[in-house]
Amino acid sequence: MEVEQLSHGEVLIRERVDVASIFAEHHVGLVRLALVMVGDQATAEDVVQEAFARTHAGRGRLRDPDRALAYVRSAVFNGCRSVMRRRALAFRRVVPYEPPVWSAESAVLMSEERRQVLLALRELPRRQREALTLRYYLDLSDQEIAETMGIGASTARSTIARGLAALGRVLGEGS
Amino acid sequence: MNSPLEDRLREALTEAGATVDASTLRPLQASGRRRSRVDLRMVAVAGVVLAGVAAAVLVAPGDQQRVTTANPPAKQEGPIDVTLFMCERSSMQSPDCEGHAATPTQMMTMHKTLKAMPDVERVAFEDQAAAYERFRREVAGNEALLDMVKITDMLASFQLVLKPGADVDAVLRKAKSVTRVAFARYPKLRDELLPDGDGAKADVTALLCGDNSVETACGAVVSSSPTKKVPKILKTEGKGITPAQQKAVAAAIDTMPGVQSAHFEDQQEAYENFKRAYASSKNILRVVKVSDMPTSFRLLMSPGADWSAVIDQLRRLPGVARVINNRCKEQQAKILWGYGISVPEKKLCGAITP
Repeated sequence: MEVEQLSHGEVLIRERVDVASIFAEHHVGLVRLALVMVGDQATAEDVVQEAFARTHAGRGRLRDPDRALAYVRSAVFNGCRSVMRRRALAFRRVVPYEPPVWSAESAVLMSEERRQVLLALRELPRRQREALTLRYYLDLSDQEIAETMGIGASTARSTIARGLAALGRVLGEGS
Repeated sequence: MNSPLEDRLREALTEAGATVDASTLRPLQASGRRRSRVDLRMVAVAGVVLAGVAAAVLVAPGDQQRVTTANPPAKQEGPIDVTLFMCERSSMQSPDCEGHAATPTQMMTMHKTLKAMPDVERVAFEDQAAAYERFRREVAGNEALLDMVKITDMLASFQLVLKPGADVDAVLRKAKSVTRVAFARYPKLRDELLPDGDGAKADVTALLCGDNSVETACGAVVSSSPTKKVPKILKTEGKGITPAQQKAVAAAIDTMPGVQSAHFEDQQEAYENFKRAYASSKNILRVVKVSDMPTSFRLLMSPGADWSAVIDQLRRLPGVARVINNRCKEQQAKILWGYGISVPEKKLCGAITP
Protein backbone atom coordinates (compact mmCIF):
# COMPACT_ATOMS: atom_id res chain seq x y z
CA MET A 1 0.00 0.00 0.00
CA GLU A 2 1.24 3.43 -0.83
CA VAL A 3 2.57 5.50 1.99
CA GLU A 4 2.06 9.19 1.76
CA GLN A 5 2.78 11.89 4.26
CA LEU A 6 0.23 14.61 4.51
CA SER A 7 -0.03 17.33 7.08
CA HIS A 8 -3.31 18.87 7.98
CA GLY A 9 -2.25 21.64 5.64
CA GLU A 10 -1.51 19.29 2.83
CA VAL A 11 -4.64 17.31 3.33
CA LEU A 12 -6.17 20.40 1.90
CA ILE A 13 -3.55 21.44 -0.55
CA ARG A 14 -2.79 18.03 -1.99
CA GLU A 15 0.57 17.02 -3.27
CA ARG A 16 1.74 20.27 -4.66
CA VAL A 17 4.00 22.04 -2.29
CA ASP A 18 5.25 25.52 -2.63
CA VAL A 19 8.23 26.96 -0.90
CA ALA A 20 6.26 29.66 0.83
CA SER A 21 4.04 27.24 2.68
CA ILE A 22 6.97 25.05 3.67
CA PHE A 23 8.64 28.07 5.17
CA ALA A 24 5.50 29.23 6.91
CA GLU A 25 4.80 25.81 8.31
CA HIS A 26 8.31 25.20 9.51
CA HIS A 27 9.30 28.74 10.33
CA VAL A 28 9.98 28.16 14.01
CA GLY A 29 11.79 24.89 13.37
CA LEU A 30 13.98 26.48 10.72
CA VAL A 31 14.88 29.38 12.99
CA ARG A 32 15.78 26.91 15.72
CA LEU A 33 17.94 24.97 13.32
CA ALA A 34 19.67 28.16 12.22
CA LEU A 35 20.04 29.22 15.83
CA VAL A 36 21.96 26.15 16.86
CA MET A 37 24.20 26.77 13.87
CA VAL A 38 24.81 30.51 14.15
CA GLY A 39 24.19 31.07 17.84
CA ASP A 40 21.71 33.89 18.15
CA GLN A 41 18.10 34.34 17.32
CA ALA A 42 18.36 37.62 15.46
CA THR A 43 20.90 36.25 13.00
CA ALA A 44 19.01 32.97 12.79
CA GLU A 45 15.86 34.83 11.83
CA ASP A 46 17.77 36.80 9.23
CA VAL A 47 19.19 33.65 7.74
CA VAL A 48 15.78 32.05 7.44
CA GLN A 49 14.29 35.25 6.07
CA GLU A 50 17.02 35.53 3.49
CA ALA A 51 16.72 31.92 2.46
CA PHE A 52 13.00 32.44 2.13
CA ALA A 53 13.35 35.58 0.05
CA ARG A 54 15.90 33.92 -2.19
CA THR A 55 14.06 30.70 -2.89
CA HIS A 56 10.80 32.51 -3.03
CA ALA A 57 12.06 35.16 -5.39
CA GLY A 58 13.19 32.36 -7.66
CA ARG A 59 9.63 31.23 -7.34
CA GLY A 60 10.80 27.80 -6.42
CA ARG A 61 8.01 25.38 -6.76
CA LEU A 62 8.69 21.95 -5.53
CA ARG A 63 7.11 19.01 -7.17
CA ASP A 64 8.37 16.55 -4.68
CA PRO A 65 6.92 17.06 -1.21
CA ASP A 66 9.25 14.50 0.32
CA ARG A 67 12.21 16.53 -0.72
CA ALA A 68 10.78 19.97 -0.15
CA LEU A 69 11.82 20.21 3.45
CA ALA A 70 15.32 18.95 2.72
CA TYR A 71 15.61 21.60 0.03
CA VAL A 72 14.45 24.37 2.32
CA ARG A 73 16.77 23.17 5.07
CA SER A 74 19.65 23.21 2.61
CA ALA A 75 18.83 26.81 1.79
CA VAL A 76 18.90 27.67 5.48
CA PHE A 77 22.15 25.78 5.90
CA ASN A 78 23.76 27.67 3.06
CA GLY A 79 22.67 30.88 4.73
CA CYS A 80 24.26 29.76 8.01
CA ARG A 81 27.47 28.90 6.23
CA SER A 82 27.75 32.29 4.63
CA VAL A 83 27.05 33.96 7.97
CA MET A 84 29.87 31.98 9.51
CA ARG A 85 32.12 32.91 6.61
CA ARG A 86 31.23 36.56 6.88
CA ARG A 87 31.92 36.50 10.57
CA ALA A 88 35.24 34.85 9.99
CA LEU A 89 36.09 37.68 7.64
CA ALA A 90 35.15 40.06 10.41
CA PHE A 91 32.51 41.83 8.42
CA ARG A 92 30.35 44.10 10.41
CA ARG A 93 27.13 42.56 11.57
CA VAL A 94 24.03 44.29 10.40
CA VAL A 95 21.93 43.11 13.28
CA PRO A 96 22.40 44.37 16.80
CA TYR A 97 24.71 42.20 18.81
CA GLU A 98 23.06 39.35 20.60
CA PRO A 99 25.22 36.96 22.58
CA PRO A 100 25.34 33.45 21.14
CA VAL A 101 23.44 30.80 23.10
CA TRP A 102 26.65 29.05 23.97
CA SER A 103 28.32 32.16 25.36
CA ALA A 104 28.74 32.85 29.07
CA GLU A 105 26.47 35.86 28.65
CA SER A 106 23.67 33.52 27.75
CA ALA A 107 24.24 31.34 30.77
CA VAL A 108 20.85 32.36 32.08
CA LEU A 109 19.23 30.67 29.13
CA MET A 110 21.01 27.38 29.35
CA SER A 111 22.57 25.19 31.96
CA GLU A 112 26.34 25.11 32.17
CA GLU A 113 26.50 21.47 31.13
CA ARG A 114 24.47 22.11 27.95
CA ARG A 115 26.56 25.13 27.15
CA GLN A 116 29.74 23.09 27.37
CA VAL A 117 28.35 20.61 24.86
CA LEU A 118 27.44 23.38 22.44
CA LEU A 119 30.85 24.97 22.85
CA ALA A 120 32.46 21.64 22.09
CA LEU A 121 30.25 21.32 19.03
CA ARG A 122 31.54 24.69 17.81
CA GLU A 123 35.06 23.29 17.85
CA LEU A 124 34.29 20.63 15.27
CA PRO A 125 34.81 21.04 11.54
CA ARG A 126 31.78 22.45 9.77
CA ARG A 127 30.62 19.24 8.18
CA GLN A 128 30.73 17.28 11.39
CA ARG A 129 28.94 20.03 13.21
CA GLU A 130 26.21 20.15 10.62
CA ALA A 131 25.78 16.41 10.45
CA LEU A 132 25.58 16.09 14.21
CA THR A 133 23.04 18.89 14.39
CA LEU A 134 20.83 17.26 11.80
CA ARG A 135 21.07 13.91 13.51
CA TYR A 136 20.74 14.91 17.12
CA TYR A 137 18.57 17.96 16.82
CA LEU A 138 16.26 17.01 13.99
CA ASP A 139 16.59 13.24 14.33
CA LEU A 140 17.05 12.91 10.60
CA SER A 141 18.03 9.64 8.95
CA ASP A 142 21.36 9.21 7.18
CA GLN A 143 19.58 9.61 3.87
CA GLU A 144 17.84 12.82 4.91
CA ILE A 145 21.06 14.24 6.28
CA ALA A 146 22.79 13.37 3.05
CA GLU A 147 20.11 15.14 1.02
CA THR A 148 20.20 18.25 3.17
CA MET A 149 23.97 18.50 3.10
CA GLY A 150 24.41 17.43 -0.46
CA ILE A 151 26.67 14.49 0.34
CA GLY A 152 26.31 10.73 0.09
CA ALA A 153 24.50 8.72 2.75
CA SER A 154 27.59 6.75 3.65
CA THR A 155 29.60 9.96 3.95
CA ALA A 156 26.90 11.30 6.25
CA ARG A 157 27.15 8.18 8.39
CA SER A 158 30.91 8.30 8.70
CA THR A 159 30.89 12.06 9.29
CA ILE A 160 28.52 11.56 12.21
CA ALA A 161 30.66 8.79 13.65
CA ARG A 162 33.81 10.89 13.36
CA GLY A 163 32.01 13.93 14.72
CA LEU A 164 30.80 12.05 17.77
CA ALA A 165 34.26 10.71 18.46
CA ALA A 166 35.74 14.19 18.10
CA LEU A 167 33.06 15.68 20.31
CA GLY A 168 33.82 13.11 22.97
CA ARG A 169 37.47 14.05 22.81
CA VAL A 170 36.77 17.76 23.08
CA LEU A 171 34.44 17.26 26.01
CA GLY A 172 36.83 14.86 27.67
CA GLU A 173 39.57 17.42 27.52
CA GLY A 174 37.33 20.30 28.43
CA SER A 175 35.80 18.92 31.60
CA MET B 1 20.99 2.31 22.27
CA ASN B 2 22.07 5.92 22.71
CA SER B 3 25.37 6.64 24.33
CA PRO B 4 25.45 9.20 27.14
CA LEU B 5 27.33 11.51 24.82
CA GLU B 6 24.57 11.34 22.25
CA ASP B 7 22.01 12.10 24.92
CA ARG B 8 24.01 15.07 26.12
CA LEU B 9 24.28 16.43 22.62
CA ARG B 10 20.61 15.91 21.95
CA GLU B 11 19.61 17.65 25.15
CA ALA B 12 21.97 20.57 24.59
CA LEU B 13 20.67 21.16 21.07
CA THR B 14 17.06 20.85 22.18
CA GLU B 15 17.61 23.31 24.97
CA ALA B 16 19.36 25.76 22.66
CA GLY B 17 16.56 25.46 20.13
CA ALA B 18 13.97 25.95 22.84
CA THR B 19 15.35 29.40 23.59
CA VAL B 20 13.64 30.57 20.43
CA ASP B 21 10.35 32.08 21.42
CA ALA B 22 7.95 31.35 18.61
CA SER B 23 5.70 34.20 19.62
CA THR B 24 8.36 36.82 18.99
CA LEU B 25 9.48 35.68 15.54
CA ARG B 26 9.24 38.27 12.85
CA PRO B 27 6.96 37.12 10.05
CA LEU B 28 8.60 36.03 6.83
CA GLN B 29 8.47 38.38 3.91
CA ALA B 30 9.20 37.68 0.32
CA SER B 31 11.66 40.07 -1.22
CA GLY B 32 10.18 43.32 -2.42
CA ARG B 33 11.55 42.84 -5.89
CA ARG B 34 8.93 40.39 -6.92
CA ARG B 35 5.46 40.17 -5.66
CA SER B 36 5.10 37.25 -3.39
CA ARG B 37 3.26 34.50 -5.11
CA VAL B 38 2.02 32.42 -2.31
CA ASP B 39 0.09 29.88 -4.24
CA LEU B 40 -2.94 29.86 -2.08
CA ARG B 41 -5.22 30.49 -4.93
CA MET B 42 -5.85 26.86 -5.58
CA VAL B 43 -6.08 26.13 -1.92
CA ALA B 44 -8.63 28.73 -1.22
CA VAL B 45 -10.99 27.79 -3.91
CA ALA B 46 -10.78 24.16 -2.98
CA GLY B 47 -13.63 24.99 -0.71
CA VAL B 48 -14.37 27.05 2.29
CA VAL B 49 -14.43 23.81 4.28
CA LEU B 50 -10.74 23.59 4.34
CA ALA B 51 -9.53 27.05 3.60
CA GLY B 52 -9.65 28.01 7.22
CA VAL B 53 -7.33 25.27 8.28
CA ALA B 54 -4.93 26.03 5.51
CA ALA B 55 -4.89 29.56 6.79
CA ALA B 56 -4.17 28.36 10.26
CA VAL B 57 -1.27 26.36 8.96
CA LEU B 58 0.12 28.84 6.52
CA VAL B 59 -0.04 31.93 8.62
CA ALA B 60 3.40 33.05 9.62
CA PRO B 61 3.87 32.69 13.36
CA GLY B 62 4.05 36.43 13.74
CA ASP B 63 0.49 36.54 12.62
CA GLN B 64 -0.77 34.20 15.23
CA GLN B 65 -1.44 36.96 17.62
CA ARG B 66 -3.59 38.69 15.12
CA VAL B 67 -5.49 35.54 14.42
CA THR B 68 -6.15 35.25 18.09
CA THR B 69 -7.32 38.79 18.43
CA ALA B 70 -9.57 38.44 15.46
CA ASN B 71 -11.21 35.50 17.13
CA PRO B 72 -10.95 35.97 20.86
CA PRO B 73 -10.84 32.58 22.53
CA ALA B 74 -10.49 33.89 26.03
CA LYS B 75 -14.13 34.67 26.49
CA GLN B 76 -15.10 31.07 26.06
CA GLU B 77 -17.52 29.89 28.69
CA GLY B 78 -16.75 26.77 30.64
CA PRO B 79 -13.80 24.40 30.46
CA ILE B 80 -11.93 24.03 27.15
CA ASP B 81 -11.09 20.66 25.65
CA VAL B 82 -7.73 20.37 23.99
CA THR B 83 -6.21 17.17 22.64
CA LEU B 84 -2.57 16.72 21.72
CA PHE B 85 -1.92 13.83 19.37
CA MET B 86 1.63 12.63 19.76
CA CYS B 87 3.99 11.66 16.96
CA GLU B 88 4.13 8.01 16.11
CA ARG B 89 5.84 6.25 13.24
CA SER B 90 2.53 5.94 11.48
CA SER B 91 2.21 5.71 7.73
CA MET B 92 -0.24 8.57 8.10
CA GLN B 93 2.08 10.69 10.14
CA SER B 94 1.89 14.43 10.02
CA PRO B 95 5.04 16.08 8.57
CA ASP B 96 5.12 18.15 11.74
CA CYS B 97 6.61 15.01 13.25
CA GLU B 98 9.36 15.09 10.64
CA GLY B 99 9.62 11.32 10.70
CA HIS B 100 10.03 11.34 14.42
CA ALA B 101 8.14 9.35 17.06
CA ALA B 102 7.77 10.50 20.63
CA THR B 103 9.93 8.45 22.98
CA PRO B 104 8.56 7.16 26.29
CA THR B 105 10.72 9.73 28.06
CA GLN B 106 9.26 12.53 25.98
CA MET B 107 5.77 11.25 26.71
CA MET B 108 6.49 11.34 30.40
CA THR B 109 8.01 14.80 30.22
CA MET B 110 4.98 15.96 28.29
CA HIS B 111 2.65 14.51 30.88
CA LYS B 112 4.54 16.17 33.70
CA THR B 113 4.72 19.50 31.89
CA LEU B 114 1.02 19.47 31.13
CA LYS B 115 0.07 18.55 34.66
CA ALA B 116 2.20 21.35 36.04
CA MET B 117 0.50 24.05 33.98
CA PRO B 118 -1.81 26.25 36.01
CA ASP B 119 -4.29 26.53 33.13
CA VAL B 120 -4.67 22.76 32.89
CA GLU B 121 -7.35 21.29 35.07
CA ARG B 122 -7.25 17.64 34.03
CA VAL B 123 -4.99 15.48 31.86
CA ALA B 124 -6.05 12.11 30.52
CA PHE B 125 -3.94 9.88 28.32
CA GLU B 126 -5.21 7.68 25.52
CA ASP B 127 -2.73 5.17 24.20
CA GLN B 128 -2.56 3.75 20.71
CA ALA B 129 -4.61 0.67 21.57
CA ALA B 130 -7.37 2.70 23.20
CA ALA B 131 -7.40 5.11 20.27
CA TYR B 132 -7.77 2.18 17.90
CA GLU B 133 -10.61 0.74 19.91
CA ARG B 134 -12.38 4.06 19.81
CA PHE B 135 -11.75 4.27 16.07
CA ARG B 136 -13.27 0.82 15.51
CA ARG B 137 -16.28 1.78 17.55
CA GLU B 138 -16.82 5.13 15.93
CA VAL B 139 -16.42 4.12 12.30
CA ALA B 140 -18.17 0.77 12.73
CA GLY B 141 -19.83 -0.19 9.48
CA ASN B 142 -17.30 1.57 7.25
CA GLU B 143 -15.37 -1.56 6.36
CA ALA B 144 -13.19 0.12 3.75
CA LEU B 145 -11.93 2.64 6.27
CA LEU B 146 -11.46 0.00 8.96
CA ASP B 147 -9.32 -1.99 6.54
CA MET B 148 -7.25 1.02 5.67
CA VAL B 149 -6.26 2.16 9.12
CA LYS B 150 -4.26 -0.18 11.28
CA ILE B 151 -3.61 -0.01 14.98
CA THR B 152 -0.07 1.15 14.26
CA ASP B 153 -1.45 4.15 12.38
CA MET B 154 -3.18 5.41 15.49
CA LEU B 155 -1.71 8.10 17.71
CA ALA B 156 -1.56 8.26 21.46
CA SER B 157 -2.93 11.51 22.82
CA PHE B 158 -3.12 13.71 25.86
CA GLN B 159 -6.63 14.92 26.46
CA LEU B 160 -6.68 18.10 28.45
CA VAL B 161 -9.39 20.03 30.10
CA LEU B 162 -8.35 23.65 30.48
CA LYS B 163 -9.82 26.02 32.99
CA PRO B 164 -12.42 28.46 31.68
CA GLY B 165 -10.69 31.46 30.16
CA ALA B 166 -7.38 29.63 29.75
CA ASP B 167 -4.91 30.83 27.14
CA VAL B 168 -5.07 27.96 24.64
CA ASP B 169 -2.24 29.31 22.49
CA ALA B 170 0.09 29.55 25.45
CA VAL B 171 -0.67 25.97 26.48
CA LEU B 172 -0.06 24.72 22.95
CA ARG B 173 3.18 26.67 22.68
CA LYS B 174 4.44 25.27 25.92
CA ALA B 175 3.47 21.72 24.99
CA LYS B 176 5.13 22.00 21.61
CA SER B 177 8.33 23.15 23.23
CA VAL B 178 8.55 19.78 24.98
CA THR B 179 8.45 17.75 21.80
CA ARG B 180 6.82 17.64 18.40
CA VAL B 181 3.07 17.28 18.41
CA ALA B 182 1.44 15.59 15.44
CA PHE B 183 -1.83 17.44 15.68
CA ALA B 184 -3.32 19.72 18.28
CA ARG B 185 -7.08 19.82 18.51
CA TYR B 186 -8.76 22.79 20.14
CA PRO B 187 -12.26 24.24 19.91
CA LYS B 188 -11.47 27.13 17.60
CA LEU B 189 -9.98 24.76 15.04
CA ARG B 190 -13.18 22.80 14.83
CA ASP B 191 -15.03 25.65 13.19
CA GLU B 192 -12.33 25.95 10.59
CA LEU B 193 -11.91 22.25 9.97
CA LEU B 194 -15.52 21.19 10.11
CA PRO B 195 -17.81 24.14 9.56
CA ASP B 196 -21.44 23.16 9.62
CA GLY B 197 -24.39 24.68 7.92
CA ASP B 198 -23.57 26.23 4.55
CA GLY B 199 -25.63 23.82 2.49
CA ALA B 200 -24.65 25.52 -0.75
CA LYS B 201 -21.18 24.06 -0.66
CA ALA B 202 -20.19 22.15 -3.75
CA ASP B 203 -19.66 18.39 -3.79
CA VAL B 204 -17.14 18.59 -6.58
CA THR B 205 -15.13 21.60 -7.71
CA ALA B 206 -13.46 21.81 -11.10
CA LEU B 207 -10.80 24.51 -11.04
CA LEU B 208 -10.13 25.98 -14.44
CA CYS B 209 -6.74 26.94 -15.79
CA GLY B 210 -5.79 30.53 -15.19
CA ASP B 211 -3.02 32.51 -16.87
CA ASN B 212 0.39 31.64 -15.42
CA SER B 213 -0.98 28.36 -14.15
CA VAL B 214 1.48 26.02 -12.52
CA GLU B 215 -0.63 22.97 -13.23
CA THR B 216 0.77 20.52 -15.73
CA ALA B 217 -2.81 19.93 -16.79
CA CYS B 218 -2.75 23.50 -18.09
CA GLY B 219 0.47 23.02 -20.02
CA ALA B 220 2.91 24.12 -17.34
CA VAL B 221 6.34 22.58 -17.78
CA VAL B 222 8.29 21.47 -14.77
CA SER B 223 11.98 20.84 -15.09
CA SER B 224 13.14 17.35 -14.45
CA SER B 225 16.09 17.97 -12.21
CA PRO B 226 19.42 16.45 -13.21
CA THR B 227 20.32 15.52 -9.66
CA LYS B 228 18.08 14.28 -6.96
CA LYS B 229 19.22 17.03 -4.65
CA VAL B 230 17.66 19.84 -6.61
CA PRO B 231 13.90 19.91 -6.52
CA LYS B 232 11.96 20.29 -9.71
CA ILE B 233 11.26 23.85 -10.63
CA LEU B 234 8.58 25.37 -12.77
CA LYS B 235 10.01 26.25 -16.17
CA THR B 236 7.11 27.37 -18.26
CA GLU B 237 3.79 28.55 -17.01
CA GLY B 238 0.59 27.06 -18.29
CA LYS B 239 -2.07 28.76 -20.36
CA GLY B 240 -5.44 29.94 -19.19
CA ILE B 241 -8.63 28.28 -20.34
CA THR B 242 -9.98 29.70 -23.59
CA PRO B 243 -13.59 30.84 -23.93
CA ALA B 244 -14.22 27.96 -26.34
CA GLN B 245 -12.79 25.44 -23.87
CA GLN B 246 -14.88 26.90 -21.08
CA LYS B 247 -18.00 26.53 -23.17
CA ALA B 248 -17.07 22.95 -23.90
CA VAL B 249 -16.59 22.21 -20.20
CA ALA B 250 -19.99 23.74 -19.39
CA ALA B 251 -21.61 21.70 -22.13
CA ALA B 252 -19.93 18.52 -20.94
CA ILE B 253 -21.12 19.10 -17.40
CA ASP B 254 -24.68 19.54 -18.67
CA THR B 255 -24.64 16.07 -20.14
CA MET B 256 -23.02 14.34 -17.17
CA PRO B 257 -25.33 11.94 -15.38
CA GLY B 258 -25.39 12.42 -11.64
CA VAL B 259 -24.75 16.16 -11.67
CA GLN B 260 -27.65 17.87 -10.01
CA SER B 261 -26.57 21.43 -10.60
CA ALA B 262 -23.51 23.40 -11.62
CA HIS B 263 -22.49 26.92 -10.79
CA PHE B 264 -19.75 28.92 -12.48
CA GLU B 265 -17.70 30.93 -10.03
CA ASP B 266 -15.80 33.86 -11.50
CA GLN B 267 -12.64 35.46 -10.15
CA GLN B 268 -14.49 38.14 -8.23
CA GLU B 269 -16.71 35.65 -6.45
CA ALA B 270 -13.74 33.40 -5.73
CA TYR B 271 -11.91 36.37 -4.27
CA GLU B 272 -14.82 37.24 -2.00
CA ASN B 273 -14.84 33.69 -0.65
CA PHE B 274 -11.10 33.77 -0.25
CA LYS B 275 -11.27 37.03 1.67
CA ARG B 276 -13.84 35.58 4.01
CA ALA B 277 -11.81 32.44 4.63
CA TYR B 278 -8.58 34.32 5.21
CA ALA B 279 -10.03 37.31 7.03
CA SER B 280 -7.65 36.80 9.91
CA SER B 281 -4.42 36.60 7.90
CA LYS B 282 -3.58 40.01 6.62
CA ASN B 283 -0.25 38.84 5.22
CA ILE B 284 -1.92 36.43 2.89
CA LEU B 285 -4.62 38.85 1.84
CA ARG B 286 -1.99 41.44 1.01
CA VAL B 287 -0.35 39.32 -1.65
CA VAL B 288 -3.37 37.74 -3.26
CA LYS B 289 -5.32 39.73 -5.82
CA VAL B 290 -8.58 39.16 -7.64
CA SER B 291 -6.62 38.31 -10.78
CA ASP B 292 -4.85 35.54 -8.90
CA MET B 293 -8.02 33.63 -8.29
CA PRO B 294 -8.99 30.73 -10.49
CA THR B 295 -12.42 30.39 -11.96
CA SER B 296 -14.28 27.17 -11.32
CA PHE B 297 -17.37 25.11 -11.84
CA ARG B 298 -18.95 23.96 -8.61
CA LEU B 299 -21.12 20.91 -8.88
CA LEU B 300 -23.77 19.44 -6.63
CA MET B 301 -24.18 15.71 -7.16
CA SER B 302 -27.37 13.71 -7.04
CA PRO B 303 -27.60 11.10 -4.32
CA GLY B 304 -26.22 7.78 -5.47
CA ALA B 305 -24.44 9.27 -8.47
CA ASP B 306 -21.21 7.79 -9.82
CA TRP B 307 -18.77 10.41 -8.63
CA SER B 308 -15.69 8.75 -10.01
CA ALA B 309 -17.03 8.84 -13.55
CA VAL B 310 -17.81 12.53 -13.29
CA ILE B 311 -14.47 13.40 -11.72
CA ASP B 312 -12.59 11.30 -14.24
CA GLN B 313 -14.35 12.94 -17.14
CA LEU B 314 -13.79 16.43 -15.78
CA ARG B 315 -10.09 15.77 -15.28
CA ARG B 316 -9.67 14.93 -18.92
CA LEU B 317 -11.28 18.08 -20.28
CA PRO B 318 -8.87 20.64 -21.75
CA GLY B 319 -8.68 23.78 -19.63
CA VAL B 320 -9.49 22.02 -16.35
CA ALA B 321 -6.61 22.48 -13.93
CA ARG B 322 -7.72 20.29 -11.09
CA VAL B 323 -10.80 18.52 -9.81
CA ILE B 324 -11.49 18.44 -6.12
CA ASN B 325 -13.74 16.04 -4.31
CA ASN B 326 -14.95 18.18 -1.45
CA ARG B 327 -16.75 15.36 0.32
CA CYS B 328 -13.55 13.37 0.44
CA LYS B 329 -11.72 16.36 1.86
CA GLU B 330 -14.42 16.66 4.44
CA GLN B 331 -14.01 13.05 5.45
CA GLN B 332 -10.27 13.55 5.71
CA ALA B 333 -10.89 16.50 7.97
CA LYS B 334 -13.19 14.44 10.18
CA ILE B 335 -10.60 11.70 10.59
CA LEU B 336 -7.94 14.28 11.29
CA TRP B 337 -10.14 15.86 13.91
CA GLY B 338 -11.04 12.58 15.55
CA TYR B 339 -7.72 10.77 15.51
CA GLY B 340 -5.03 13.23 14.49
CA ILE B 341 -4.06 11.25 11.41
CA SER B 342 -4.11 12.21 7.76
CA VAL B 343 -5.38 9.43 5.55
CA PRO B 344 -4.11 10.15 2.04
CA GLU B 345 -6.91 11.02 -0.32
CA LYS B 346 -5.77 8.38 -2.75
CA LYS B 347 -6.47 5.77 -0.13
CA LEU B 348 -9.54 7.28 1.36
CA CYS B 349 -11.32 7.97 -1.88
CA GLY B 350 -9.43 5.58 -4.09
CA ALA B 351 -12.55 4.66 -5.97
CA ILE B 352 -13.20 8.27 -6.72
CA THR B 353 -9.72 9.56 -7.27
CA PRO B 354 -7.69 7.87 -9.98
